[in-house]
Parts: sequence; C-alpha cells; structure tokens
Amino acid sequence: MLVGVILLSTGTVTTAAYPHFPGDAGTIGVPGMTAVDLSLSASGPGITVTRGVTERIDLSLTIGPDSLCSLSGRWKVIDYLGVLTTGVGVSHRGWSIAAGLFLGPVRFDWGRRFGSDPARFGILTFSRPGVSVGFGIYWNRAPNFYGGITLFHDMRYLSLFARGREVTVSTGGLL
Amino acid sequence: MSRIFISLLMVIAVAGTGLGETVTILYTNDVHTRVEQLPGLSAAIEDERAAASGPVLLFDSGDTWQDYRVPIYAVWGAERTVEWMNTVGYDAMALGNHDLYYGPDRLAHFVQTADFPVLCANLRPVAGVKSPFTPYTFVQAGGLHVLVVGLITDEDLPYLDYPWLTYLDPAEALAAVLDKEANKADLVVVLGHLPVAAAKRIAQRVPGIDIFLTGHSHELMETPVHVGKTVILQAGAFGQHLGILTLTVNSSGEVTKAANSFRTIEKTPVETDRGYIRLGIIGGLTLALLLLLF
Repeated sequence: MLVGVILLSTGTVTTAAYPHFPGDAGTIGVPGMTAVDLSLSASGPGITVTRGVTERIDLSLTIGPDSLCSLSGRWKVIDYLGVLTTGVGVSHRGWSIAAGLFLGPVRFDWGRRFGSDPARFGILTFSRPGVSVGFGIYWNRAPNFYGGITLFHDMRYLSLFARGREVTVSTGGLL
Repeated sequence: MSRIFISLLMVIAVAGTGLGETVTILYTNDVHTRVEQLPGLSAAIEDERAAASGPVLLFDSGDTWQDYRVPIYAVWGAERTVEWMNTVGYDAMALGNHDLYYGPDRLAHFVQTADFPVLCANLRPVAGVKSPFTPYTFVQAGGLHVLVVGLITDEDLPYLDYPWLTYLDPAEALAAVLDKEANKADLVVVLGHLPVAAAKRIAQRVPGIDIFLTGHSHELMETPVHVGKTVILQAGAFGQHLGILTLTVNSSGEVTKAANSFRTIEKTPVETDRGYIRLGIIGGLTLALLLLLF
C-alpha cells in the first residue's frame, strides 16, 4: 500500500487512468471519474476505488488485507514544474510526500511517509506503448526490492508486481 | 477566335483549381526549443517567402518544445518557441515524443496557445477523452488543397502519463486518413515524427503520399529519398537548418519537379536568465526532495 499511496501523489496525478504500480490504488486527477483496482496477493484480496475530486485532489477507499477499510487523500502540489511533479498524501498510516522526475520514457519517483508506519522509496519506471516496467527499493522496517510489469489496453490494465517476497496480481481501469 | 476563347477558359480553369503551380514548402524538425536559433530561422523564413514565386507553406515535424537531455531546455523555452511559431506563421506541426514530455495538461496548454494545428493520426484517444491534437488538417496553397497528416514514432513515448492514448501502426493510421480524405486533396503532405527509414517503409505500404517530412532521427537529408512518387526529407535538428522544398505541380495534380535545399542557420545570443533561474528553482526543489530519502 505504501508505494501506491506515495506514488499516486506524483506523476499520474495529471490525467492518468492508472497508477504506476497498479494493485495499490486507482486514478487521480480526472474530476468526476472513478477508477477501480482489484488485487490479489498471498495476504488476500483487495479493492481500491479512487475518485478524482479536482484535477489536483483525489480520494481513495481501500478494503484489503492491510486494513479493513481505509480512506486516503492526495494533493498534487507541484504540477510539472519542468520535469518535476510533487504531491502529498494522507492515509491512516500517516502523511507522505513524494516527487517524480519525468524524463520522457523513463521516470524516477521517490518519497517518504511519516507517521506511525514510516517508510521511504525510490523507483525507476520505463514505458513503451502498452507496457510499463518498474523497479526500485523501498524501506519500511528493512530494505525491500520492488519490481513490476503492467500491460495496458485502452483504459484497462493487468499488473504483476513483487514487493520483497510478496507477489501481487492486479487489474482495473477507469470507469 | 473560339480556340482562343477555349484556351483562355482552360487557363482560367487551371488557375482556379491551382493546378500547374509552383509551391514552396519550408520545413523544420527537432528544434528542441533552441531559442538561440529562432531569430536566424525567422530571417531565413522571411527571405524565402520574399523570394518565392508562388505560395509558401511552413511545417514542423515535431520535438519542438522540449529537450530533457539539456537541463535548461527541459524546463524552459517552450512558451517562447510556441510564440515564435505563431509569429512566423507555421501552418501545421506534427506531435513529437518530446512534445509530450511536459505532461498532458501543459501539452494541452501549448496546443491551445498555438495558432496552428498540432497533428498526430496514430495516437488515438479512447472514447470519452478529448485529445489536444488532431489527426490531420487541410491547408490552402494558392489554389492547391493540401492534406497534411501527422504521425509519430513509438520510440520513447511517455506512455504511462498518457494511458488514454492508444498507439496505432503509423501506416495503417495514415492509410485510413488517405482513404477518407485524399480524394479531396491536390497534394498530400505527411509530417512524420519518425526516422527516414521508417518513412520509407510507410511510403512502400501507403501509396498516395507526395511529400513526407520526417524527424526524430536528426538526419540532414542532402539528397531526398524517393519511394514511388513520395519524396522523403528531413532537416537535421536543433534549428540549425531550414529546409526549402520547391514543388512544381502539373495540371493533373502531380508533382513534376521537386527541388530541395537547406539554409544553414547561425546562433544568435538570446536572454536566458529567466530559464536559468527556473532551472535553479527546480534543481533546488529536486535536491531538497531527494533529501527526503535520507
């Protein structure tokens, strides 16, 4: 959940129907539109529904193995100042700040969450039409490898990603 | 007397349809916001317009508003470049992959600011999403009705930030446009932000293209490539050259002569202080945010 909460404060805020790492949350920044993400991992199934409130703010409701029901919000503070985008997020785990450098086909996202469950992450993402591959590291109690691949078709996606030893499959899209 | 009258009518008819004309096409590609080249390009465009004996069109084949490989051009210069393109009067430009790198909102802003259409026929928005660019346009060159179609390469596309766009095969997308619109045009020009080699493959699959102005690969095509009737060209990169293509179009609407040349453009010192201030702010913010990790 960490990576999704933080990442979704960043680059995809603008218009994206997809998070960078589906399985953690949904869309942001498309006012009046809703995204749904269904995920399955060894911990159990999860569902996240995200609603774009304005172009810079969205709200997500998640039901999953980590929490029975949690609400989170994200606000895009800096929108493509050159190649930099920055956002903050709030969830039951604490508040987060994250940034993304958009370098064409490659982007670098990083950030930190403060609060009862602190964490940090840094992830590189490479994209081609119809496919995106990302990998990086996040620290929660210990450093963990993060890697994932997402296949896109129109406004739908199918994603497989690993965080530490936990593998998650997710699918979803914009309604 | 009647023969003279008929001949006169034919001349008037030909002149009325614009057939049998000389048309000059000025073209650039991959300018990448090199603002120091813009004054020189302006002067060259003005000179060529003054020297032309017929109508003059001005096109760009994309990657015009950004260059993330050079820090200052990753964060500054786009607004100035769009203003310049409006001032010199571009007729159309193709969308390049770098033009997408500012993100959808700013791209939409730039396109709205532009007085000319931004073209791309092979990125199709999904239903319900309005795209800031358009697949093709018609421009008038004297009496010639010119169909101008935009294409983009799939290399280095920032797909993740444009998930509402579906990438289509350029040849198929182009063929669909030509099937629908080519019969309304006297001349078909493709502005393809893709390499010359890719343009050759497309021209082999899609007959009916008269002029294919390419980009992306930064090739200076001293000698045009001919595939069937298609003339393929590219004008280097970074605004260092202005392409000048002079066409003679006969009474059947065929290009009978195509003469190409380039003008080399010298740099002109320009004020970049605001760009460096912006770069400093972004660099400082990025550094501060990176410190979050530690």
